[in-house]
Amino acid sequence: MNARIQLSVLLVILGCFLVFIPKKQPGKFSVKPGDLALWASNDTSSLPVDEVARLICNETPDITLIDIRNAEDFKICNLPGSVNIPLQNLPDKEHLTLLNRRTGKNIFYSNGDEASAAALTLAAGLGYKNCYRMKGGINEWYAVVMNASFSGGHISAKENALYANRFEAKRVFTQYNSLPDSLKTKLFSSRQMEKAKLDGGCE
Amino acid sequence: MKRLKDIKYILIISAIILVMMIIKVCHNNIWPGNAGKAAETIALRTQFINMEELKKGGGPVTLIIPGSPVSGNNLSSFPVMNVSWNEMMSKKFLRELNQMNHKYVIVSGSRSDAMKAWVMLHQAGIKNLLILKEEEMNDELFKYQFQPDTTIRLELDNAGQNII
Repeated sequence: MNARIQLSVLLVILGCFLVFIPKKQPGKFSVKPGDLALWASNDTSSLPVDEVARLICNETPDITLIDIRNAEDFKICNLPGSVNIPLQNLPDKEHLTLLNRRTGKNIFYSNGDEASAAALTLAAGLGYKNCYRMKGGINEWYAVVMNASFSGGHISAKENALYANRFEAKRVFTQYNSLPDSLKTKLFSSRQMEKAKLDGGCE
Repeated sequence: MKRLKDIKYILIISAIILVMMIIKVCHNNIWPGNAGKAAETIALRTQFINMEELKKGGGPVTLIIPGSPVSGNNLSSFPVMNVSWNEMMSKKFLRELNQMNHKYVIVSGSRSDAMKAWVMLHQAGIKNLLILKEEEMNDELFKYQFQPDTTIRLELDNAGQNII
C-alpha cells in the first residue's frame, strides 16, 4: 500500500479516537440526564443506620465512610474509620482517586439528610460509582444506635440480632471517640490489620 | 487527479470525522453548572427560603414538586409544576424553565428528594432555584452531645502490649 494511504488511514483512526472519547470537563456532570433521573427515582443508594452499624461492627475492609461535615463537627465525634471531606471540597481533584474507585463502597454521611443527599447526587452526576449515603446522618445514628433500648416483654431472634448489633456499634463508637485524636486512626488501622491477618492476608 | 481518486474514500471519511469533531467541540455541555459552586452553595445553605420570605414576593414564583405531589402548606396561591424525575430532566421541561425566567422553589415532603432535585436542576443550568424550608430547625445541626467514656483504656494484645 502506498505510504500516503497508510498515513491517511492512521490519521483517520486517530480522528475516530478523538471523536469518540468522551468529552470530560472538570467539575461538570458527565452522566446522561436520563440516567441521573432514573438513579434519582430509585432510592437504592441510601443505607439505613443499622446497615452501616453492621458494616462498622464487622470492620468490613472495603468500605470508606466519608464524613462531609466541617472539621469542627468531625472532631467532636465521627463514625469509626471515617475520613473527613467537607462537602465544599468534595468535587476537588485530590479526592478523585478515593471517590472514583471501582471496588468497595463510599458511604457519605452528615448530621442530617440534606448534605449527604446533595453529596450523593454530586457524586452520581460526576460519574462516581459505588457511592452511598447513610440515611438520617449522625442524628439518626444517635436516635437509633446510641439511644437503643428494648422495652418489650419477649424478644425475637431477629430483634435480638438487631439490638446486639446496635449495642456493639454503640460500644465501638464510644470507645473510638473517647480516644485522643492522635490514637483514633491508629486504633482503626491496627484493627483492620489484625482482621487481615485473621483472613489470611499479609501485613 | 489519479492520486486523489486513490484516496477519495479516506478523504470522505476524514471530512466526516472533521465535521463530527467540530460538532463535538462546539456542542455545549447539557450540564453547564459547576459541581464545586453547587457544593459551596449547599455548604453555606443559601438555597433555602421559608414561607414568609416566599409570600413577601419579589417577582413571579413557580413551585416545582418532584416525585409525588405535596398537599396543603398554603401553596395554592402559587403556580405549581408537578414533575416526575424523568420529566424533570427532559429537554422540554428544562427549556420551559429557562424561557419562563421565574424564581423556582422546590417543594418536597422529603428533604433528600428536595436536595437531589436542587442539585440536578442547578447543574442543568436553572437560575433562581431555591428550596422551600417550612421548619425553622436546621436539619444539619447536631442535636445530641457526645459523652466520652473516661474509663476507656487502650486494648491490649496477647503479650500485654498496647495494640497501637
